[in-house]
Amino acid sequence: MLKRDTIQLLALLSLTVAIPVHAEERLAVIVGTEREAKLSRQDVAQIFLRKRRFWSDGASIVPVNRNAGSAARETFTKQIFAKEIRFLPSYWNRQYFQGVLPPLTLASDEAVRRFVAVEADAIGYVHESFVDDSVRVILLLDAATPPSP
Amino acid sequence: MWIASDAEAAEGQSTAPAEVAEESLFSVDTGIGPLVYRPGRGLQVGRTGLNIGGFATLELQKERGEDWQLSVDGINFLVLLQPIQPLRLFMELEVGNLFQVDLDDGEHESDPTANFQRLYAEYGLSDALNLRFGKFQTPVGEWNLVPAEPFTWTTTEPLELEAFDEHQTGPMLYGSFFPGDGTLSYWLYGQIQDFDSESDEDPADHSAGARLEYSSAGDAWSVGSSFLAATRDDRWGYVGGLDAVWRRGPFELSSEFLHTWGPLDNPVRWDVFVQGVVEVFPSWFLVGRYEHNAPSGGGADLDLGDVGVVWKPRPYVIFKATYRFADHRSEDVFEGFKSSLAVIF
Repeated sequence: MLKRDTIQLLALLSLTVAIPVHAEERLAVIVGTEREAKLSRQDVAQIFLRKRRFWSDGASIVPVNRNAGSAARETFTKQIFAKEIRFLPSYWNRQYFQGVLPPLTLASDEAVRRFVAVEADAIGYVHESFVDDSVRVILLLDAATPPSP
Repeated sequence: MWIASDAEAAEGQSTAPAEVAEESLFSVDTGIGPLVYRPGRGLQVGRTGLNIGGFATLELQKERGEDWQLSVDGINFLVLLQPIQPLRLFMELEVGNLFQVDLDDGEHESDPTANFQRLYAEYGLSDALNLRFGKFQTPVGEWNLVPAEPFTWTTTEPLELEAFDEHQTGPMLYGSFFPGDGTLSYWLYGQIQDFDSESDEDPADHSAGARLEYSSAGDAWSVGSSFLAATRDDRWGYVGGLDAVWRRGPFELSSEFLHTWGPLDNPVRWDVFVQGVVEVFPSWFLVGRYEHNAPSGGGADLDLGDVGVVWKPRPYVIFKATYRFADHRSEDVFEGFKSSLAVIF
């Protein structure tokens, strides 16, 4: 009985501790397990700006963003587009005029991981603790490390 | 004057504007998938690959020596159909001249017209090779790629745009390579016939052009060069140009240079402009542009200055006010105050 109570308490504590730790956690840029790809931070920027639209095997890349306002989205945007953040709205307006829409969005790390696991041409990002065997990590972004110039 | 720093740009508030236009206003489940409308990004029609949106513009202007004018400049519909991934059909339909009123004497007119500003199909084979056929923006310089009112920083346009047709109708090859950390893009295109002879644009009979552009990974800067050869009544004319854009924190600086030559009369001999934009408060921008225009046919060179303010309370709602002054009067050149309210829907 005591053991079960302890486990429940630890589980509760782990939840409360996980919230602040989660915000500092690294982001993992992920693809499907079958996808052979080595991407740099700049490659990822080009993909999420829809400049790079094809994988090397000719398949169309399906980038998936986290929803607006999420911690993951904020970290990703800072890390990938650090110096150009301010002009992103204008960039996407210009792309809209040219018939290019921004990446689709999903509401949770879990949803992104599941989407990337089943959609062979997808690329997304989740907090590192959400990575499992269903996806492959191709880049890690550290929330505490400033982006490269 | 407050000018945001890079550090502030990388902090929380700066990501908000990009994200606002992603929020859906409504989403309705239907038999063909969800109908989702996002302001500034259009209506996504289920799983059909169809997206319908556009923009509308209201203008208030006072040209030097003229009355105040208020006009609903037009409503432009942007329709994208992507039935399968590599195939894209795109259309811009403009419904223009909707309403104009002289605010001083009350005289008004309405003469609605509809025309396809752009209409093309394209097939993407790879990043390096995309095939397009139809009517599209002429890729000379950065400005003419996206010249519509909501997407520019001023309500006035540079005079360089008079040196070439805004659109071409014909085939295009375009694509991108990724040397180093940047993007090298090219466009090869031509107008094989004047398909648009009913239009009042009086397009060239034939043309051939090319553009090459290199941009940094995050679109922080880019440089480009363009060339266009066009003929009317068997007389050829040529346009060559260079352009550059640089962005850092709250600043954007852009410049374009264009030179024309050949037996075809062109209203522009050469033209250069430099434009600066700075975000002084969140969503508030100051804009300044200097342009030097050398017309053909021995007319006096013209120096133009444009100063303006832009407010974007939402990424898809844009207020602009621009004042243009010139070193001397020129009949065909707008001089005075022009403001606009544009909504991207």
